[in-house]
Amino acid sequence: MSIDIEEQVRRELATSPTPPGLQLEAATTTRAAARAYRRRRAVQVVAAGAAVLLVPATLAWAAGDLPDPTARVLPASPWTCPVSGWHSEPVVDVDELAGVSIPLSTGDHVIAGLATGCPFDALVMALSSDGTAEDPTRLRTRLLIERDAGTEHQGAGFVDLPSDDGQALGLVLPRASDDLMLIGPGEVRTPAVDPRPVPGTGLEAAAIEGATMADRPLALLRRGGDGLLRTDWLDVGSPAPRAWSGEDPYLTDTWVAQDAQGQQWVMHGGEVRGPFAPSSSPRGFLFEHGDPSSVDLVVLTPGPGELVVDGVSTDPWEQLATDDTTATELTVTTTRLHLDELVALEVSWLPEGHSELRRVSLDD
Amino acid sequence: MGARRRRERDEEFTDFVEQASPELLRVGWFLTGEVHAAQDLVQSALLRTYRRWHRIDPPRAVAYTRTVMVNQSRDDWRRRGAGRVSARPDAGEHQPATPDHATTTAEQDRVVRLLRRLPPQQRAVVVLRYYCDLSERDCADELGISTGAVKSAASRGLARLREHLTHEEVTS
Repeated sequence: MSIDIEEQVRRELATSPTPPGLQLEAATTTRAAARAYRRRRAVQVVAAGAAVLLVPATLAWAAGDLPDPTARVLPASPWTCPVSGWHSEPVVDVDELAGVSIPLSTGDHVIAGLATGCPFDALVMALSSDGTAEDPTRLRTRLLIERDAGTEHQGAGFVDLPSDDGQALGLVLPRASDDLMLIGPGEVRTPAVDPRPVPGTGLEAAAIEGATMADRPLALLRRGGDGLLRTDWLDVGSPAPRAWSGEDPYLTDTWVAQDAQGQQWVMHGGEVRGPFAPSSSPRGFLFEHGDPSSVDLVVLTPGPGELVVDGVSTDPWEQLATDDTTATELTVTTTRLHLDELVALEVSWLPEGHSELRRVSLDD
Repeated sequence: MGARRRRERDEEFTDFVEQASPELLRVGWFLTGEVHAAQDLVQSALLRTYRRWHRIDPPRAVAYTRTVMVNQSRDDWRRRGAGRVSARPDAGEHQPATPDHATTTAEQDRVVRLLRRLPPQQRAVVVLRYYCDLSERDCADELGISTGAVKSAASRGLARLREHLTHEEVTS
């Protein structure tokens, strides 16, 4: 490339005028960031599920003992909520509240609702001990968190619902979530759910029968009302190494993750492949994406390098290293292959700093 | 985090935004070609920077924010569809105040218009290499790609820009 064009581009970029109005007010930006940060912290607590919530919820509610370690029933605390209906026992007398909306239950188990009248409105994911959805006079709280309308579109909440009929995984999802997929353990399944709106919120509640957090499913994949894919990681608190593409682990088109069982999965464009055993050999996956003239190739390699397809170096769409908290080094490269340019679809990897190509095995 | 630490953090962050936002906004402008999109992109990236503020080495804060912006703009591009041309009135160029100004602006914004014709990775590499003046190594680090990929994207991006520039000069 000639120096001329480099210098011309450099000069044009340097002298291109800044459009009028292209500015930010720093203090306003900071306030917005601080507000978003607090909301995110709140939703992370929701998204983390019951296991992780145990600690902050216990702190938040100045909990006493946990009478049933399996159910992990949390006592509501009279110290933080002066409504007289809150008992030191793990029971909420909802008659003392200004209102409660319980849209969904399975048998005696209330999955979610909105309790109002506390100093703050509270999202309840609860199981009922003495009441039912129709007569929720006394609820044994399972999980109760301050409701924040600003976070409702972001994360999902999960809670186990043990019952006489088996197990269910209670979900609270942003409204209009669609295309749910529960990933792991060992399989991907599309759960049959019947989400019900939680009145007064932008949320829906649903239950997946036969699934629990204790089974250590990896994630719930869903499409939001905006049409974008979101991943809610259920396998929280585990040391499972993960790799995901994109800055935002909840909102992404491609990810690779390792579950608590040590198996790996790859997702691209809403399609999930796996589980498969981790390997130090380069491995590629082809994904259709709606355009019959091309396919997407996602390649996992044990480090950075270049992809070579039919002898030609490819221009990667994106190439991301493993999340910095993981112990396993893995590079995820995504590229789009145009079928009319392919000859034999031989994919190789040239590790950075090496001159010898390594063959990439492809899984359809 | 106590109230005092929060205040200190917010003051530090405000200083950072004041100092860094003019350049970040221009990077956003080059990446998106739209005023509002550039502001949204920078604000969105700054939200993420704020979240990780305590873990970011201060000299790396601009680089971190730029990385977030590039990733976000690439995701936006893919979500909207590669061939989409914005119908927003400010797309690609702002409205001039006078005819003379219009000519000047259109000419000076030529590079923004041409950048929009590049795929996101090539556009990002061109902006980081030739506006932010990053080395190939630093560019690769910020984008999370190899230096080979940076060289390739820069070369292809410049080649396309040269084609377009030549074409514009011939047709004008």
